Amino acid sequence: MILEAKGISKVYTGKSETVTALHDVSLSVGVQERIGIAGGSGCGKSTLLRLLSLQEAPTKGELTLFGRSVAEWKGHETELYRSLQIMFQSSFHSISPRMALGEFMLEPCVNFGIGTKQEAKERCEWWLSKVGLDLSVWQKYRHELSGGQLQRLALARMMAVGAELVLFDEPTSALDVCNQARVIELIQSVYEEQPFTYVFVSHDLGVLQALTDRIIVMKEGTIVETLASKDLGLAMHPYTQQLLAASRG
Amino acid sequence: MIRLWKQDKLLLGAILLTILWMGLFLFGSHLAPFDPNETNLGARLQDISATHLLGTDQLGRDVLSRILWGGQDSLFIAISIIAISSIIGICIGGLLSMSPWYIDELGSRCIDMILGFPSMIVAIACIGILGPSVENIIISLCLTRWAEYAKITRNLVNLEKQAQYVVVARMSGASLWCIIRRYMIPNLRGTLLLVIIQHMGDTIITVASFSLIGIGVQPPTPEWGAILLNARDFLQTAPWLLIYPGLAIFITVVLLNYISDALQDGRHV
Repeated sequence: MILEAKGISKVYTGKSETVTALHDVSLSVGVQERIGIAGGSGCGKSTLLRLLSLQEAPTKGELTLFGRSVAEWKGHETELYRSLQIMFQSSFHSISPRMALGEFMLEPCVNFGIGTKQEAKERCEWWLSKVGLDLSVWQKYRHELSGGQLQRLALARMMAVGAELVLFDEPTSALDVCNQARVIELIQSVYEEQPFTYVFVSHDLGVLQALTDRIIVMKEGTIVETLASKDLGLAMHPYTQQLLAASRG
Repeated sequence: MIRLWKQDKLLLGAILLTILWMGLFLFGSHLAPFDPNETNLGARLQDISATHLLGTDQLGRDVLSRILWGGQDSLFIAISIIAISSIIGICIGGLLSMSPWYIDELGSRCIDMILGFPSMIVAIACIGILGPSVENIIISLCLTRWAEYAKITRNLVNLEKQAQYVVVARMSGASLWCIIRRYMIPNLRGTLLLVIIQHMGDTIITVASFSLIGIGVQPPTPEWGAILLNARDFLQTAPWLLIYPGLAIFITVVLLNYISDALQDGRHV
C-alpha cells in the first residue's frame, strides 16, 4: 500500500468551540490506484488531503505513507514530497505573483536534484508540450495565463517531478466546462503515459467516475460509502444517490 | 522604469522629481552660494535679490543657503530614523513570525504594549532626559518607531506563511531560507517600501516639529524646523523667512505622499 489511514480524526479546538472535521476515517490506496473522494462542502475532503500531504497532523489514528508513519516522516518531509505532490483548486494561487512560470516549473526538479538544470528544463518543456502549452509560457507570469492553462501547467510540473502519489484537490471545480473536459482528458492521457497513484477530490461524481477506479463518499467528516466507479449506479446510501442525482442534473 | 513609464507616467515623473528634489538638499552643502551661518548685519531681512535669491534673515544669513543646508540635516535625520527603526523592526517582526507560537505571542503582546504608549510623548520625554541633539532625536524616535515596523512585518509574514504558493513551495522541496529569499522578500518588499515612504514624510514633519518647539536641532544648525523657529518673530515683517522653509517641507512631504498613494492605488509595488 502506498497510503494507509486507520481511524484518523481531526479536531480543531478554537477558543469557544471545537469542530470535528474528520471522524474515524480509514482508507488504503494501492500502487497506481486511482481513488476519488466525493462529498459536499464541509464534508472533510480538503482536511483529509491536508492530513495526507502532512500539512497537518491527525488528532487521532494512524497514517502511513510509502510504508512510513507520520512520526517517521517528521523532519524528512522533503524526501516525502519528492514522491508526493498536490494540485489545488486554483493554480493561480499556487504560483508566487513575482515568479516567472519557467522558474516555477523548474523549482521542484532543482530542489529535489532531479538531473542537471538543463535536463530538468528539457523535461519540463517536454511535459509542457504534452499538456498543450507553448514554450513561451516560460517567461510569463501567473496573471498572463487563463485558469485552464495554469491547471495544465501545474499538471506538467507534477509530472516533470515524477511524483508517485498525487493529491488533486478539486482541480476542475474552478474551470468552465470546456477547460474541465480538457483537464480531465489530460489527466487520463498523462496517467496512460506515466502511471501514478492519485487521490482526486471532487464534489462532482461524474468527474470522479471518469477519472478514478474507486470512489469514497464522505459526509460530515465520515466515510458513508465506498464503491467501484463502474458500480456508481448501484450506490446504496441515500447521500450518494443524492450526489449522483445532482451530478446528472 | 520602462514598465512604470508604460503604466504610470505621472508616478514616474513624481519619482524622478523627488529624486531631483532630495538630491538638491543632499548635495545642498555644495550647491549653497553662502555659508549658512555667515552673518552680515548690514544685509538683515533683505527681500529677494540677485545676490540672495531667497532673501536674508534677521542676522543677514542667506535663506537659500540655510534651506539647502537645512534640507540636508532634515533628510539625514529622517532617513537615519527610518533606516534604523525599519531595519530593527523588520528583523524583530520577521524573527517573531518565524518563532514558535508562544514566543510570537509574547513578542507581539510586548509590541502591542509599546504601541499602546503615545509615541510623541515618549519621544519628547526621551529627548527631555537625554537632551536635545541630532543623535538624541534619532534615538528617541527610533525607540518608538521600530515597533510599528515589527508589528506590520510580523503580520505580513504570518499572512505570507499561509499563502498557497508557500505551501506549494514547501512541497517542492524549498528550504526555509529559500522560501524567505524567493517568496517572502519579493512579495513583502513592496508593501514595506510603501510603509517606509509613508513614514518618511511623517518623520520629516515630526523632526521639524521638535525643532519648532525647541527640543530638536539646536541653533545655529540650519534644520528646516529650526529655521522656522527663528523666523516666527518676523511673520509680519519678513514672511519669506517662514514661507520658503515651510514650502520646502510641504513639497517634500507632498511628493513622498503622492508616490506612496500612487504606488498603493496602482499596485506597482
